[in-house]
Amino acid sequence: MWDTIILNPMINALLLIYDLLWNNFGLAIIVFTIIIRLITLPLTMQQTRSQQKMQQLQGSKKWQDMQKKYKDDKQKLQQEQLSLYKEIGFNPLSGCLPLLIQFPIIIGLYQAITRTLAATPVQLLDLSKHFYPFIPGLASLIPLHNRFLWIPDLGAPERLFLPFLPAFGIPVLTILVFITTWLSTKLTTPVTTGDSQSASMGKMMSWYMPILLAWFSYSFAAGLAIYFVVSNVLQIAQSAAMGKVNWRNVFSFGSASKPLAKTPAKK
Amino acid sequence: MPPFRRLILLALGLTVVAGLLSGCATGATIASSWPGISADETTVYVAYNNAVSAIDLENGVERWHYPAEAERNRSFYATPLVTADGQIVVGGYDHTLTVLDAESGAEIWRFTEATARIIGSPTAAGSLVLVPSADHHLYALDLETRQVAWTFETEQALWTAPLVDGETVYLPSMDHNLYAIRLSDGAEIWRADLGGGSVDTPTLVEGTLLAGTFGNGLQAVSANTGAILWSFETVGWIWGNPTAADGLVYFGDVAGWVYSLRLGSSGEEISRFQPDGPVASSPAYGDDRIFISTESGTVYARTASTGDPIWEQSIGLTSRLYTDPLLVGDVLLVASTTARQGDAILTAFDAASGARRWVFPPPAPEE
Repeated sequence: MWDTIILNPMINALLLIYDLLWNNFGLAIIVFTIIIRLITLPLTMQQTRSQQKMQQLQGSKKWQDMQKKYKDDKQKLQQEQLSLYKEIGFNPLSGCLPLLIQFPIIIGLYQAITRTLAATPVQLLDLSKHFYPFIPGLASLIPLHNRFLWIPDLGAPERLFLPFLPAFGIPVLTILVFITTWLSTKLTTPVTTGDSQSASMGKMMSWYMPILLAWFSYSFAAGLAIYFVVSNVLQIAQSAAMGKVNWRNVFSFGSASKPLAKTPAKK
Repeated sequence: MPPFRRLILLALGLTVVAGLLSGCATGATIASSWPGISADETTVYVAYNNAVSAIDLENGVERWHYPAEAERNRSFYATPLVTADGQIVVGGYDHTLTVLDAESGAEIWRFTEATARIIGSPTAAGSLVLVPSADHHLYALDLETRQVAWTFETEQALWTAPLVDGETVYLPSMDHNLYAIRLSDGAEIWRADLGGGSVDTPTLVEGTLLAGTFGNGLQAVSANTGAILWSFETVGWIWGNPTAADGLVYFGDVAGWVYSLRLGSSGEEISRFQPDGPVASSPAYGDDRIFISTESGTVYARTASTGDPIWEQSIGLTSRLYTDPLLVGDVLLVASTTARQGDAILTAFDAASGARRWVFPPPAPEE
């Protein structure tokens, strides 16, 4: 099931793109990432709209009054919040799907990259079972050229060894992933208001995400790190194009800044 | 859903992803290839995972294993070479080639100049041993002086043993080429583009080299000139190269077909049959019997000249057969890629009847 829906399409798409892009696997991963972002664009936009709606709702007087009125009765507060969601036609789960869809993509891409760059007999034998027979010539692409820019093997964790520092490999992609994830989180995550728990949680998350993805990049295939960097840059660009980037957030290391919008939610 | 809860969901999800990726990475290192086996008149040598073992051909009892204690960064899958003067030469995934004493298993010395895994088996050629490495180089190593006589570089990894015929070395590479090299100095004589990667030693029959490829079927190449003589299209990739048997050649593909061809000016197909799974190994041949093993764990014995079935044996549901079966006298040895600790790595069958003689390691006694 997993192979049919996720892995096989990814492996064959990656190989087709690789074939079209002068047998450059690094470029193939970048173009593949752009295609994935385009395919999931409607979901991302839905998520953005959901965030915006939630933000407007939290800035509304009705919401604030409700928080004050039921601050000592969490259960009642929850009931009232749900009633308000229903009243304005807002589904609080509508922002989840774009997030959930990221996980199979990340796992699938990791598997697709490591399997197409098969470095052992068992991996290569396994790869032969994932090819679509109706696409001729894919097998003749094997083995793939696994070099890209300064990276000697896209299937292994990346380190840059400088001539004057031969004993220490600098994890350049890991650093890039950390910076772009931090920027993306800071620039595109809407700030929370009022609720100090939410604000502190948001602050913690703005560090958790970059550290976690940087750890992925440090430990796993360099190709996956390229996916993260390109994906983050595209996320920022997309948000900027939609006017949803708050540059002031980048420089606010302390308390959360003010929300982008405070107009009440409309049906 | 408030933004912070969404972030928590994302964090939890990514933590799960981290666990899954870690699992994938760990799983990949358990067994990255299948056992390599070779034998002399009395002993079977098996290279698999962390050890090279010498096993008594008669009863399956282990005589020695190397290293004495498993070392985390050392694993062996290349078929061990047994030299005429009683040495075992085996390549490792730690980039080294180790020379052992065949009698005791004691290490004699190690060659450490390769910079990538040694997946293919070394081949003896006079005083030289030819060592294919995934670092794209073939090393011609003098075992007596312990010096490299020459190296030959290709454009991609070398995963298989070269074939030596007289003064010529035939070397298939993952770069899609089959090379002919002069044994004396490592100079290239010719190269033939096979149209796909090739990972098994070519078969030489009456001046024709037969090489299986990934995605481009079987290629017949003139051993003299390197010209492609004819091609035979297969359903799947060919991993194990053909075995010659009385004017016919037998081979399988990973799509699960076994073919027999008659050699001549072209490869005329005589028959094909579909066993119970992909075939990644080369068949074994002897005494008008051809032995074929499948990934699914079944061994087929057939009459080579007619293709008639003789016997069929399954070695178990969890083990897979990728290693070439090996016929030593009247014993057929089958090495398994095991899925669980304690599973049999090596099974010895009576070649005539298919009766099981012994397994290694022996099954644990029932409590």
